[in-house]
Amino acid sequence: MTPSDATGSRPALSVGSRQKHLRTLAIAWQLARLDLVRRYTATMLGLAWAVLSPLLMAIVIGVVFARLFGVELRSFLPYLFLNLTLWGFFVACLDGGAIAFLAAEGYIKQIPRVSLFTYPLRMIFAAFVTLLLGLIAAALVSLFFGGKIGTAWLFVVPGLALWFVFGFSIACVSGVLNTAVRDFQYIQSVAVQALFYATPVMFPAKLLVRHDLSWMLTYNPLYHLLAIVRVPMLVGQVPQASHYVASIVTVAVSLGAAFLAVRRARARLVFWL
Amino acid sequence: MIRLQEVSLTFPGRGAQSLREKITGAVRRSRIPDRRAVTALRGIDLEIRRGERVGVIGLNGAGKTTLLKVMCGIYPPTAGRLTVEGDIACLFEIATGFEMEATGWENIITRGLLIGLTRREIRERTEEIAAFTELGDALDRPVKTYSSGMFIRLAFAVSTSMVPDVLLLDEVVAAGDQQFQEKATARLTQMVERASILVMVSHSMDAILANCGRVVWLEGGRVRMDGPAEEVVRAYGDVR
Repeated sequence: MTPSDATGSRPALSVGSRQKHLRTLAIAWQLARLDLVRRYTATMLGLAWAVLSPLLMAIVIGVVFARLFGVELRSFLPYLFLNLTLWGFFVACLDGGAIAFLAAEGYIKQIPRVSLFTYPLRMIFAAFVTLLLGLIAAALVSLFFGGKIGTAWLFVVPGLALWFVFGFSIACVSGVLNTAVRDFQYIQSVAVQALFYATPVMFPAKLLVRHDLSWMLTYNPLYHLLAIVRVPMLVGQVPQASHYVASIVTVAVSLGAAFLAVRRARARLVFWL
Repeated sequence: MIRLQEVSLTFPGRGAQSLREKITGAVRRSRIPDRRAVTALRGIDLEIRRGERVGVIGLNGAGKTTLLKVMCGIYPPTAGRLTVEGDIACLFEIATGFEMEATGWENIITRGLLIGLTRREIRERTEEIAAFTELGDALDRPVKTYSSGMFIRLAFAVSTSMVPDVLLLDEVVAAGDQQFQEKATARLTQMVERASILVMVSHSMDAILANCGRVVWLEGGRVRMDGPAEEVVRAYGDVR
């Protein structure tokens, strides 16, 4: 027997236990698995698209921009490919998060005692699998262009762990905001576009430094998050502590925001659907 | 045990907002009342103890389904206090919440997990659940090809594969064809015997009288009458 007591809050969520968290994970993974199967069996090349689409992007952009920036294609292409893969995950979290609760309306309105975190988590699981495939491809691209496997690659793991928590957090926040205020999606997509051009994804970070814009790097959390995966993987070095500090602060702040948003939405979200 | 103390529920008419509404709302919030707000339940006091079989009757829009949704925790009450002990299962007239592109089998697993079964428990019951749905080969197809009756069969079979302490039913048996109804009724009777509390909403007084010892009559979101089944059903019939 699990007594639950609700005064303006969902009774389910006050029953905090290990079993409940495991259940949340199990449901989210099941839903994510179905999403992945659907996404990749509906197309002819299936899973290969997870790798092919950033690869084709990287080749097209790479050939042009390497000339424009006067950098070597053999180092620029892996850089571009890895950045685009990580950025793709970032966007997938925001977009997936935006529809996380809306797509789950049928569940939220009929099945009691399911944690609200389940639904953003579902989106993150699917996006993260795609990210992992992209990273494997990025590693291969890097090796193809003469990169070397080194012990620094181990530092990719904590980097990815931070990315996972970051993705989960922004998906929760995006989910609550987009469910509460429907036109938030427009603001969000403009903001993401702006951030894309302000972040060294498609161009080398040096370019900003050269034009006295290094503050744009210092205060851009995405730059540091990209660095904690890129530096060990492509440069073969341990990332600077400052990248980690900035990344950890970013992740902590966004995780806090996620808990706050979901807690505030808990008693109201069902009415927004 | 289910206890509702002074429970009220007002659907905020504002619900999801556009940015324009949000801004004008912030400017004028204090002056303009929310006109689209709908109060579905007003000051409900109810206590349902172990072993009770309670029917909920009333006209359309009286708040019957909303009451069930509050009891199982889907709608948080906007005022008052709700206490529920034990695990709960609820079944609604129209089944929603399916992965449309996935097969019937996958949806059995998904729904099973959602209602609190473990993967192992689901695996043990899959055959039995599948047999109960009588969907046969259709289970291999994506559920987007299903009719509404088939959805009900699927949802019903999964939800009734466990025996909860508290069972909340919303006019479920009314759905599906004649043959399925009989089968569903038999299954429900079994469950009702084992569950420690049953609350059912129905427009069929026969179904209410057959299953319930106590009836709550809702009108305009309030309890109009609460007492022994025959008495309340008779009074309800007289008024109509």
